[in-house]
Amino acid sequence: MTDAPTHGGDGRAAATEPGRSPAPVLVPTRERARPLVLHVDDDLAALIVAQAALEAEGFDVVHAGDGREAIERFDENAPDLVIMDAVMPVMDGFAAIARLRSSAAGEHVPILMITGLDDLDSITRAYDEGATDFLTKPVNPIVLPHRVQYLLRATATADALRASEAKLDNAQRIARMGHWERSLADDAVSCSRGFSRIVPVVDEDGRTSWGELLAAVPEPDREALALAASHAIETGTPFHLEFSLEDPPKTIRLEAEPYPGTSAGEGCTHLLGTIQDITERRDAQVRIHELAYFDLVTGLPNRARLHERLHLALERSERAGTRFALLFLDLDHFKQVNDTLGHDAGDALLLEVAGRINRIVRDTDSLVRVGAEADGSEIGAGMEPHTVARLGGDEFVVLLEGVPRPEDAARVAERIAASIRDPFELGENVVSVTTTIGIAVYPADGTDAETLMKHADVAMYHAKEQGRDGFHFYSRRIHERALERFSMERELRRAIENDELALEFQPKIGLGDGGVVGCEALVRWHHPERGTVSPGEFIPLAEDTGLILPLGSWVLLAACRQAGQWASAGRAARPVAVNVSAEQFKRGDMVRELADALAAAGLDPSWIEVELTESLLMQDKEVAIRHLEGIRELGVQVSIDDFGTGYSSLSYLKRLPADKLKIDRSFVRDLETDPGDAAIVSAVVTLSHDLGLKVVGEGVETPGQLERLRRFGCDEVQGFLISRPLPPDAFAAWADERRAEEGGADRRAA
Amino acid sequence: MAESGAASSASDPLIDDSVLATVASLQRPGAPDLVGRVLDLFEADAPRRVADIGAGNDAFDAETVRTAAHTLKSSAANVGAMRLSARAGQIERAARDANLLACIALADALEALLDETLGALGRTRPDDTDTPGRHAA
Repeated sequence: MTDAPTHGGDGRAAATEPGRSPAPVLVPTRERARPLVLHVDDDLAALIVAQAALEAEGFDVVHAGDGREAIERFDENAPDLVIMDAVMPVMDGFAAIARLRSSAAGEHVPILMITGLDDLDSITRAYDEGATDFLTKPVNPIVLPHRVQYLLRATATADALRASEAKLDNAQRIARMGHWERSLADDAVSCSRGFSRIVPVVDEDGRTSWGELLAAVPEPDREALALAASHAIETGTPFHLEFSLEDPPKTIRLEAEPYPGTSAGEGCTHLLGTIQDITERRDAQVRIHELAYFDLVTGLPNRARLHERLHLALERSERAGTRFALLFLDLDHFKQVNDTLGHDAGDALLLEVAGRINRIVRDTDSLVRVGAEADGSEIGAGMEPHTVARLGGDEFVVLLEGVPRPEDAARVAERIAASIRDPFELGENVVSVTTTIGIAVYPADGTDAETLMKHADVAMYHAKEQGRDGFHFYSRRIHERALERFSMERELRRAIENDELALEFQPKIGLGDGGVVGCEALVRWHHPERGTVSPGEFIPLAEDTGLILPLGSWVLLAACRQAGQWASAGRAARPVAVNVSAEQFKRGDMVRELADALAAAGLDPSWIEVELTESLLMQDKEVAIRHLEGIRELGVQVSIDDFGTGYSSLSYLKRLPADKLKIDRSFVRDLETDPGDAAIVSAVVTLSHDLGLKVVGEGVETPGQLERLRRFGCDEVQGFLISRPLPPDAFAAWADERRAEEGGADRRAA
Repeated sequence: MAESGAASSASDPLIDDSVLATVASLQRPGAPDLVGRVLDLFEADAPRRVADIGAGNDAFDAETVRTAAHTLKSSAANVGAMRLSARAGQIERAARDANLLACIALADALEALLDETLGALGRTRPDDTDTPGRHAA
């Protein structure tokens, strides 16, 4: 072996034969006219015989005398096929094959191993190292080219398949797709590599089961997928489905179609499908939506989004017959900020303004909820009642859908203006701006989006003319009325604080003997400039604005105080009835407040009677019963006001812990003319007596009404016929006089 | 395998003419004489292999014997020297089994078989052809 032949020279000679490029081909390429065979053997005679045979059949041949030289020749020439002798000096054929197979270029090249005829071990080893086929020695030179030809064809087929698979895999990777096939016989699922990139539930061979695939899909999509698949198999129709994976978050689109069996009557045997990761597409759609509907600087809805919301608001309001307000804002002197501090500062200011407006508008919900409910214009659950949008530049629009009253819109506008008035810190600069707001109200100022927007804009210019930093309604009438209510609210607040209010007392007399049986305390507002303001005007305002609570407390305390004076002077007549509003009652500490007021005045509880309307008591019956029990435990009497308007049931009435029942004035008014009302009053009296309640007739204005009430058995009456409400001293005097008359009458009777 | 090879040794033909006939059939016009080159290579190589086998046997070096016998087996087969190739194969197997006594026994008449083979091959060679490569190796 010391003189092992080195026929590299021969190999190179073969490579430089006419028709072949003398330069080594460094880049592997299959684009050559004649396939190139690298023949590796230490037996030169075998090489030259094989070369003659191969060349005759259209191959070019390169030689190498041992394994190491084979690697070099391979790298230089990138042959299409390698014929490799097993036993060679320096590096044997097995080691050479192992080296070739571990390189990228040699991974798939066909290798024909030449082994000894009787050497089974070598054949096994050759395959283990990666040989494609083998021939035994002595090699028949006539057979050899045919074997080589066959191997090349088989390799070309395998290459084409591999290339096709790689193309499909690449296409799937690029499209973020995968395909799968479910065998209905055993529910085995085989998947492409693309599939496992999207849903990693498959093993190395791309196999999984239908159950595992389903388990990877979260509910409720899992059930939807299972159902869709069974339906598809039953009906033979394709389906598609989109669902989400949670970890990592992905949106998947799955399509599938049933695959019919090959033999007749076999039905469907497979379900073929694809999946696609559409997360990016979906994200892009969301992003496109954001770009299309939201302002980039502030993140607020933009003009397009506002228009959608406005149209929805119009539809809803038209259907429900409700009102809403549209506020058009712009910042005064914004341009100066932009010009002096730059656009970044301008954008930062806009962002901050957006935040402030949003905060005010969000707080508005609680501010106006009471009123909104009273108006019956509730927005559906989960709906954002308001929209704050940026139109561009320094223009903002606020759509106040849950704000039915113009004065509420005015209040929101004023609060926005106040919040903008606070200085803005922009980096190192402190900037002060103001805003001017125009308000249009649906439907008074327009019934379509364009008109409302235009009128809100016009209103804003009105406001600017009147000196910026403020708001103006489009309609002068609405503006004045809103301002009126607005200022009245402020004044009522002050009136409560400053004791501008006063109580008057309307007497009640018993129909049995005509004696005074107490009075009803009624609040009066003596405004320094407006004069006396009607309760019909300021009580609803107090209810809308929440001022009813301090007002109610004032009335209760004042009534107790007055009753205390009468009690110690031995004048007037008990009890003094005090009206309690729904808000006071709902707040839940009515009993304690009453006890405190009695204690503060040092008053015997029998001096006070609480009047609650029937409709109030209908709202939460169990709570009402509990509170009434608490009130009566104090020793305070309970009277049900406005009875006949609240649709209470007989069984509920029976359970109510009350002492009196006041028939609503509407029944009393028509008592003489409407036989129906007369029948009702008669029935109510009878019923009340059966339940142990006294009955009071309210609003008695004529002797005829009085006469009928007396005939029906009504216990007490109240109304202008008896006396209008009187100031405290007047009432005391009236009661004294009445008692004196009564006493006189008694004496006369005696 | 080894026994059957040994048993068949004597029955193998000295020369299988079809082998060189096949080689000759591959001869292209104008190309170097293929049969001549194969014969030249054999004539140059085979005596060395036989000598190596003898030297290996003398030195009790089974590996040298094995590789030399392996090469001789192949190169003899290349020229259709089937009896020599078979004998070389027997020696290779004995050497692989480290059976040097068998090697020595099998190599005893090896030189005579080589001479006989070369003589027979020489007669197959066309006399008028003087291949330049004949003395090259």
